[in-house]
Amino acid sequence: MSIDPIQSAFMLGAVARLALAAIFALSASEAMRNWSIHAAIIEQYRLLPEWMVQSAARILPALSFTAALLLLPPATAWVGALLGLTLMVIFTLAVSINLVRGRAYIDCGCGGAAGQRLSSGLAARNLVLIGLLLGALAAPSRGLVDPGFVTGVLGGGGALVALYFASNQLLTNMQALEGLDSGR
Amino acid sequence: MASLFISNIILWIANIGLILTVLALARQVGVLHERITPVGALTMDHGPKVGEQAPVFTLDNLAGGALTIGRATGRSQMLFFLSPTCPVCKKLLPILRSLRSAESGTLDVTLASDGDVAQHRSFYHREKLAPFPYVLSADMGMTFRISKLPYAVVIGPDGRISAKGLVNNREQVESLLQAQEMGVASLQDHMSRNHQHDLAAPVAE
Repeated sequence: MSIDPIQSAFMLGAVARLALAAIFALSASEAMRNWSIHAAIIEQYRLLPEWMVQSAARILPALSFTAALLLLPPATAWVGALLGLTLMVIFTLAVSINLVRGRAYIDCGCGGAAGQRLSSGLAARNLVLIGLLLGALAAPSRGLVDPGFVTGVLGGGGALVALYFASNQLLTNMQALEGLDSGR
Repeated sequence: MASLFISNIILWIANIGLILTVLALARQVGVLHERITPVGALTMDHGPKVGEQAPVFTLDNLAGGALTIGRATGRSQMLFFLSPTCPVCKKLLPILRSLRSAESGTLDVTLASDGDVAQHRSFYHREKLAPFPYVLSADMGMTFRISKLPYAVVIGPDGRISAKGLVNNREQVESLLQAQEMGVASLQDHMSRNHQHDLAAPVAE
């Protein structure tokens, strides 16, 4: 049994797309459910004029959700990947600018773990996501064909999503722990 | 080939199961952190202590009229100290709104700050804070020794301070109210009391 590079590329691309779609969709739904809090978080980044904050709080999650939907069908995957890439670059820039400004204490607003502040770990996490998006963009895409492929994609994609949320939570915990140490 | 495929499925299930376990553990640690953070603020602060009678202030309400704070009214009062320039305070406003409507039978939420009246008035209108009473008093901030924002003080129906602390998120706001319901200064206080009780028991017998 030799490893077929084209088969592997199909598989890896599909794993990346499934994981990214789930991550974008879950983060977007979190932001949509609490959009007024999301607006306050966007305002804290101090990058947009005040009149744009409310609309950005509605548009950004909608765009994330669209990216998630477009990533799944093989035909539109590249559009979804491009849209996701644009969003992730914007988010990472926003985080980096505020890190440079010394405003690391603001809430990052990354879905899932509430109260996570900005950190270089967060920027690194975003770079990993950008890498995945580039992978999804570069890899050839096709639908689910045989049971082995389905297992690999569901397993790999599911594992990446769970790892993403676990690492998010661990980043938050690490900051909370630092807060406890400096508080005493 | 079939057994390889089945073993592959089993491995994926086990793999994802393990990651979910790590996620659940991390989440539990996170919840523990959220529960204990206001306790840190409670143990190191100054000002009127939990259990003491709250100082009474009669102040001008930005919404109109005067407002008395700290008197036993039969209702609980939450004083939320904020500033228009504090981002976390803004983030908590929607949470206070939902808290205010959920607990409207027993709890009054009052926003408190100090500084330039015009600036606060424009903040009050911009953020549509009309349902909340809003008072400005440097004196009250000094009396409660507010050094960090956002800070919340809960005054019980009897006019005694029932909980207070730095609040950064929904969980911490809720933990202050929970502390009030349990009649202890903080969850940490509750645990240490139980712990002392355990230690004291053999001596008493």
